[in-house]
Amino acid sequence: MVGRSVLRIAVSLESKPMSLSLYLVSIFLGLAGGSYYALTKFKNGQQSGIQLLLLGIIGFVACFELYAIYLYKQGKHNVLVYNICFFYIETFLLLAYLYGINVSKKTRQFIVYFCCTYLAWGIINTVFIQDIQLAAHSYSFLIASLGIVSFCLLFIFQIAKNNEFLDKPLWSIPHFWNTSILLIFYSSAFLYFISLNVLVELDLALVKVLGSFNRFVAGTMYIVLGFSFFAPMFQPTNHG
Amino acid sequence: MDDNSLELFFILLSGIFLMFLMSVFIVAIVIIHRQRQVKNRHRVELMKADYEKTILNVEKEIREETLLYVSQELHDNIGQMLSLTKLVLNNPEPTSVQEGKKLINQIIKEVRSLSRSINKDYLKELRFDTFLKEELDKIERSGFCRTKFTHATAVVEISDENKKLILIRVVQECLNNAIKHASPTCITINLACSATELELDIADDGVGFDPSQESTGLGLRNLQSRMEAIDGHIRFLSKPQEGTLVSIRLPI
Repeated sequence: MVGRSVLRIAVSLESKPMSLSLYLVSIFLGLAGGSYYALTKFKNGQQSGIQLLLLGIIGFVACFELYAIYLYKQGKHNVLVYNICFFYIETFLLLAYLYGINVSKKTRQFIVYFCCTYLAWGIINTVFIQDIQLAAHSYSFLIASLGIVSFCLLFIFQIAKNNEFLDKPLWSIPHFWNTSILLIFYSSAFLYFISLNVLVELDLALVKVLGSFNRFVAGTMYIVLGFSFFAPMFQPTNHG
Repeated sequence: MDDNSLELFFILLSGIFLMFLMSVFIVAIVIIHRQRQVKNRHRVELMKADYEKTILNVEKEIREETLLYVSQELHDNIGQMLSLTKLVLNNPEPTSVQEGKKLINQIIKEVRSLSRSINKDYLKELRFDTFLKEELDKIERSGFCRTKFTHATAVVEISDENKKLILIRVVQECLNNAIKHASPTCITINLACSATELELDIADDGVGFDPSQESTGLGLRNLQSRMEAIDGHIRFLSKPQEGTLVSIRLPI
């Protein structure tokens, strides 16, 4: 099982070069957009913690993706980097973002409980099920995806339920864009990561297709996260 | 290889299906939100129209009330004083000219005071506590009953003119109700004002009424709806033969 996992992560990375540059461009585009916004707002002293957190997430993704590629080019395994940075740290950062945008005390409490459970599961998974250095922690990612999807669904559902933002269109709200793209990415991405370990017979070409599809959605997600705070600028002004 | 293609097809299809499902959810929320926005805008417009109607009604009623007061003053006060002046001046005694002059001066004062109250902006410029005092003075002068005015704070300022007009009309209506229906021996107004709220209590020791009775409900509901239009609250505490307390609270 572990041996197969190693092979599959390596395979998934091998499949990268084809659309890897596009994926990296997407991340850096999102980072550039977010940085430009944060800098302009920094001048006016208007940037918020949530904006900086999102910018930090994109910056963090850019760093670990570059490091993973560097390791791959050196002929070393990068599974550990993805396990720690993508499956755990990025998940916790996104949960922190969802904690920040949710005003409901109950939802915030659920997010905290979920983080604790996820951390505990991560430890159990590392010690008893999937070696963190050799196998992609796909079971953990399945749980992370479920959590992030649930909290995004809850956030969007609460907008409609509590009649929030009735004075402006939804597309002018950055958090609506962010939760929507997180919802779309995480509702499908877990299938790809599960398939790395679970589906035994996939060959390289097929994994390449899945990887490209996954990277396309992920790249779109980072662009949206980076540029989402520009959304209020396109809000129609009331001349009445 | 065929099996692999099937697996890939299944994974891709599941992924696309899930993404599609989430997209449908997002679009549905956007549509629902849009519909609620339209409904909310319509509701706000209705509320605005209702508020403007209330203001117009209040202005009209205040004008009518003022004209009624002026006509009463002209007939009962100034008319009487002019008749008295005429009688005094017809008296051939030399002191009557002095007396006549005094009376004419008093009439001039009364006419000035009346013309002030007809002025359109008079109420807007008038301080609220001064208005209350003047209203109670009018009742006291008419000899209808005794009045008492207490207020804890020195100056009560209501910056929103529309709010002030509606509140003035509500107070006038409460005093009119007391005069018309309660037969009180004393009307008391107590005014207090915190940093955020104005507290006004109008009490009388008249016959009182049962607030739950249908026949009294309409006028009270009208007062209630006017107070709601300016985000205020009004409560009626009364029992037959035990007087009435009208408690008004208004955020300022």
